[in-house]
Amino acid sequence: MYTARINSVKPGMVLADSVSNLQGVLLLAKGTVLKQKNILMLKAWGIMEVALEGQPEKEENAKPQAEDQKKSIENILMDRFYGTLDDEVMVEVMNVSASLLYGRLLKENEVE
Amino acid sequence: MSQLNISAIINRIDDLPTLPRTILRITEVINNPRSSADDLSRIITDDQVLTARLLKLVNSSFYGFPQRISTVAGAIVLLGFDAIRNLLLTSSIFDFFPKRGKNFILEPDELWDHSLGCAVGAKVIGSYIRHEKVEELFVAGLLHDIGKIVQILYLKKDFEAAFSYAREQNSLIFTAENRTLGYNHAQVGKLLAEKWNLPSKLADVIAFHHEPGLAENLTQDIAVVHVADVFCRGIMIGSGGDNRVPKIDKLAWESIQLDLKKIKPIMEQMEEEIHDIKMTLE
Repeated sequence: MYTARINSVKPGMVLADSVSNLQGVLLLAKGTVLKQKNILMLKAWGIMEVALEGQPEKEENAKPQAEDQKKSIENILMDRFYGTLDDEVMVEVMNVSASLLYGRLLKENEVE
Repeated sequence: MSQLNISAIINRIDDLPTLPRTILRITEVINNPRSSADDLSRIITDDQVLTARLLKLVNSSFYGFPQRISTVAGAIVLLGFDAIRNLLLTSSIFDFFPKRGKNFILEPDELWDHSLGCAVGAKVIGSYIRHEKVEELFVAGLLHDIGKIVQILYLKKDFEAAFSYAREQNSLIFTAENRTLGYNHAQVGKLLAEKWNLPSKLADVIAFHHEPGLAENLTQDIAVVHVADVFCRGIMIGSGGDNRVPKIDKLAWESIQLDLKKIKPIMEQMEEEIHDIKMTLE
């Protein structure tokens, strides 16, 4: 058994303990095999961590990234964030945006 | 332009959109401390459309109760008064957005996506800072740009001028409005919120989401929606009418005490949840 951040939980994982909301209402019972909709529901309730059966997964290696697509996302973001990047918070927001937009692009490419 | 002058402009609009009567009555009942769950349940069940929507929403994966909820009374007991009010407000706001295809300079669908993105963002940030009422933040995010709806429907020429200025100068629409019109969507939204008798807490979010530092009382709700707006613009969910990401206000950032390291998981969760909530509401 181990504790996992909700963002790293994937369908098929098994709850090692039951999960309740802040009011104490049972949301999911111990032993539930998580589906995508269960994970979204836990997030909607603001659940941050859950106890899972088994061992944590090793992180997969990131795939090699297509440099030009990345570059064009960066250029768009540099325009959007113009004049704000002397602030460390904004730099972080831009970096996270870049990685999320790139992920979205990869997903779209897969579908096509 | 002074608040009084914009107020005069707004007052000239005869058919300013109204909230459905039922929502107004529900707000009254909820604000009255002597109301019972029965009182609320009776008003909701009088409205068949609202009842159907409420049951659809509470049974959706967004709330995800393990068992099916088949009665309004059951939903009230499980969710509580405030959550019900917010949920009904959410579903009526959707009706209030104009449908596409009427040649609006800012596509209402884009604005809806931006508002929904900001709502989800506010809710996610709220859960990270352990805000007590995340549904309230959700509604505040959904409504923060409500002034723009009034503008694209009733102040079309003005809004078009600001929109073009923002395009040409690559500025925020907020800046463009102030320069070209002398008033902005936050002021317009505030007036609408007052007309609708929305809680003052909510009106303040609408009024100060661009300039939290100017609020007499910088509430957490204002700060959270301000930050959610910036996050949402960063990951380009919908459009509020320009292509810029404004700087996060220092006071607002300090007031929510969010660790820099939390930005990533929050924005990731926003990206994921937005798709789910879109399916539920539309």
